[in-house]
Amino acid sequence: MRFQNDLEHSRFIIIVIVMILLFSTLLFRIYNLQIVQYYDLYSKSIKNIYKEVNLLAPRGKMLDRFNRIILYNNSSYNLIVYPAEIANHPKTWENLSNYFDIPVDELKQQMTKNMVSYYFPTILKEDIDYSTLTYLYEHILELPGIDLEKKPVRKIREGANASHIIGYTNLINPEKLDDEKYSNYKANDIVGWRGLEKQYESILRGIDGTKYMKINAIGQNIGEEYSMRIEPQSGNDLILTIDWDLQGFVESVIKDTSGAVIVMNYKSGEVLAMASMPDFNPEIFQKKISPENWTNIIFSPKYPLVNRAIHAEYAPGSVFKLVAVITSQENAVVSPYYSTVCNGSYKLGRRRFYCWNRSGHGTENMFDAIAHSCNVYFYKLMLKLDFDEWIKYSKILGFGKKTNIDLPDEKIGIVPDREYMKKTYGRWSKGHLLNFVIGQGDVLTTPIQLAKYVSIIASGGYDIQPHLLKAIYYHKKNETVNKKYEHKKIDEISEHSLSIVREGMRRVVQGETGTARYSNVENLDIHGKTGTVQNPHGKDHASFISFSGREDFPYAIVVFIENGVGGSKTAAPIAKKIYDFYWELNNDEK
Amino acid sequence: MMKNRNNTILNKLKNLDIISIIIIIVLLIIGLLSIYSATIFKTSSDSTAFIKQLIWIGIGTMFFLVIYSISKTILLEYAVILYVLGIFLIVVPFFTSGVADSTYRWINIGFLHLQPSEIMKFILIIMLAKYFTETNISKNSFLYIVPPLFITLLPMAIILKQPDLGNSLILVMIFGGMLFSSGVRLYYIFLLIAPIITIFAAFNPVTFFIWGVLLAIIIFINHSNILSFAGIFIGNVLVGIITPVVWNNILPYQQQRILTMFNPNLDPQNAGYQAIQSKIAIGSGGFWGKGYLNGTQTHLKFLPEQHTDFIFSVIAEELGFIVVFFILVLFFTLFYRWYKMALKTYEKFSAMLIIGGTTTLLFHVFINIGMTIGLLPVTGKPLPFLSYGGSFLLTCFGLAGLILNGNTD
Repeated sequence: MRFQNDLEHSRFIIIVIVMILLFSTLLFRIYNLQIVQYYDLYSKSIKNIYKEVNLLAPRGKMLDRFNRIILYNNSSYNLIVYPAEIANHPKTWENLSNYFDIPVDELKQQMTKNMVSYYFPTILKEDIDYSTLTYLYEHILELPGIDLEKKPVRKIREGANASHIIGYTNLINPEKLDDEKYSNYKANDIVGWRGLEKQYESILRGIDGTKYMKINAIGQNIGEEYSMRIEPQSGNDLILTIDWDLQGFVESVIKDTSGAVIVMNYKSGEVLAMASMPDFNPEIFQKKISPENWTNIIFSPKYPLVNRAIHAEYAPGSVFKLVAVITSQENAVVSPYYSTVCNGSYKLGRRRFYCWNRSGHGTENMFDAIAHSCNVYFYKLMLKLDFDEWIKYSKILGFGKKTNIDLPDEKIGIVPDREYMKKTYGRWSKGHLLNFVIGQGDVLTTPIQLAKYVSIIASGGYDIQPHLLKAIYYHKKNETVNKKYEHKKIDEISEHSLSIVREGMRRVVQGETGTARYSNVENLDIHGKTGTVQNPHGKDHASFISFSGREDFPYAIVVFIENGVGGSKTAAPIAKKIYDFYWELNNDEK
Repeated sequence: MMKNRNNTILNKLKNLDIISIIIIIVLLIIGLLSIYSATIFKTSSDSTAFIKQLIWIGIGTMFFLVIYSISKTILLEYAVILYVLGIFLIVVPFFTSGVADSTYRWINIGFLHLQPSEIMKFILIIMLAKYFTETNISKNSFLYIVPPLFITLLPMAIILKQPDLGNSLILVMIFGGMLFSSGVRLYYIFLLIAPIITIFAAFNPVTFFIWGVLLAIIIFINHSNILSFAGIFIGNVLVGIITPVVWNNILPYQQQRILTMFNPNLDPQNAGYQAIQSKIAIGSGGFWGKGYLNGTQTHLKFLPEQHTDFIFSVIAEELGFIVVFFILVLFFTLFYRWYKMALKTYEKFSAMLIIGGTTTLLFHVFINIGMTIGLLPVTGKPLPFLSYGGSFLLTCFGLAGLILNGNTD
């Protein structure tokens, strides 16, 4: 041919260099993948062969102080359908319709209501009974498109409810998933929402396991790879300070009221019973809660979800008078034998402040004033006190701050100090203080604060830490670890002032004229203080704080009954019933 | 006459480069075995891929012999007619494809699915070879590169519109390789590439400035004429200024479409997943591989198109680095040998055919392997001689025929 090849050698060299560059780029990269990253990529390829299936870890149980299981896991079964699959099997609908005696259309409507996605398993019937379960298991092959889903449910022991203490669990709120605290949670995980379930979530929650299902060449499951299985780890058990028998009794006593009762060991801070009424059934929160149920609970005028023992802030009434007694003694303002006359009222400036007994108590010393709950005595005493000192002792006795009992969302109440008064009233007068000293007006306390208060008095000035958790049982180590609580001696309060308070409280119950004389229990050396809280919205509230002076029966009882009319009339008799019951129970056991 | 022709064919067959043939046969065997492994558990019609590939190899061999035997004089004579026919063929799908088709890559005649862009590769090689052989324009003139530029741009633009980015890039590579080998001044190639670099440099003021200075220096050295210097420089700067303006004024979905065209990894649902699974397959093979028929990535169908576009991943997973390295050596040896033939052959037309054909296959190898190892975007170009697929296998046989034909006198 005509034209001679004029390809230059230098250009050939360049072409070869380019080729070498291209090939070495490839080779370098392949070397990097196959040799350098081999282990990483190999393990990824292994993961591809397996389908991970979550193994739910059982949540920890709760036991009472005598190791009786009071909260345990039970299984409930849901009937679920796969909408996409069941669509191809109209016969399944017919069979289900025949069994349940519900028209097909209604069943389909039920499915549509619960359906998240066409390809997601959808709950058709929740918590199916045993006979249905057996029937469905036997006939599952004839019912393509359905499945049975096992779901753990928390069950509470018979005999008591303790809903406010135990709380309940539910699916985690999707908003919480963004929270760092819940970083190891995923959607649809179960989490404690209230009570001890929430407080001790990290102890109760187990660690889910994983099983690996091997997939064959055409994507079918061909069984589990047992060597890779990660067993779920059960959550740890809580051993509580609660006495389940006592808890049940306390609940039954105040069943028809609104209010709270706390029974506590005033030396150790162990709460033996804590009841709040009205209560609720925690199990309804574990099901798909129906809108009606939800409305009933949330909008109930009685607020059943509120644990009145720690969430409700009430004016305490006359039980608060003991703060003034302690302040007066610590500051040496008056002798306990300082006497004054009660004519039924006291006039400060142009305002008249009344005693509950309008005919007057006559001449009373401090012990009488406590025993009879004489307001006039305390009006006069308050005027002798330094307001700041009174505030100081209110706070030392545990008011205006959390007791740090191991339950979530405890309220702190109010001790009206100078800052508070300025903010609320601007200009304020001594008249306000006369209300405060008898536990009315702005003073707000929770029943658990009152329990701590009476424990300080009964224990001889120890800063008692109320608590519900006695010990934790760790499954893995098979060991029970007792929780330690510190009860520091309160230096600011002397035995002298406490002994005066206790003598006054003794006379309240054991004295012939005490306000709670009808609620005495023989042999138990009951001390107490009644309270009646003026309630502008209805009947007065009733309060009673008390303890037994017996060394071998170191229990305090706090009762608060909404609209209970009077401490001596309603609250103290409740405490008496509980003392009777518990004393008997203890003696039976011995 | 007839006898004479038979003689030339026989003579040609005697001259057939036996080493090239051996290499190709080895590659075909590795490919066949891997296709078997990749499709063994499939229940669909794909399970016959191994048999089909065997048949295609038979057809391919005949096609190879036809192209190999064809007289180069005829190719030279009919080049223009072939070119016109080629352009016609790549335009046809735009008119025959149904409304439902989103692409215009295929011509369907009964049972036959023809991909005209594959044929266009041959025709472009022959057409460019003809031009570089016969042109009277001096290599020292810029005009020298204008006709081949248009010869390439026309089919390239049409194929890009089909849309088939991979194949239009292959056409550019063919053009580049042949232009470079024709002996054109390197400076002219630089001038062709300069605006493309400008476009990318323009998105950052610093790179744009550095590139501008570099550009000015290079143009200044190569141009005594101040006017053409200014023209080229200002032209590039204008391109650079307009690019960001145009980019910022197109709609976000258009930007996204352009970005995913160049980097499909931006579309993680699809291409990103493929790239990741392919890398896992290759890396998990390690040095010795998981063993033939034991590739879990392959058999669990984590690889898409595993017997066509991702056959390399299958080989790497099952047979390991050792075989992969061997394959790279085979390709390198083959291409080196062919480029060497281009250097040694007597006629310019033959040399150009060899350069064009080898460059096509070289970039197919680079683009395909680069894609499976996550170096290049997933464009869906098969691997020469190894991938399953009729159309492309014929292209490879044909190109080999063209190259080895060029090696004969």
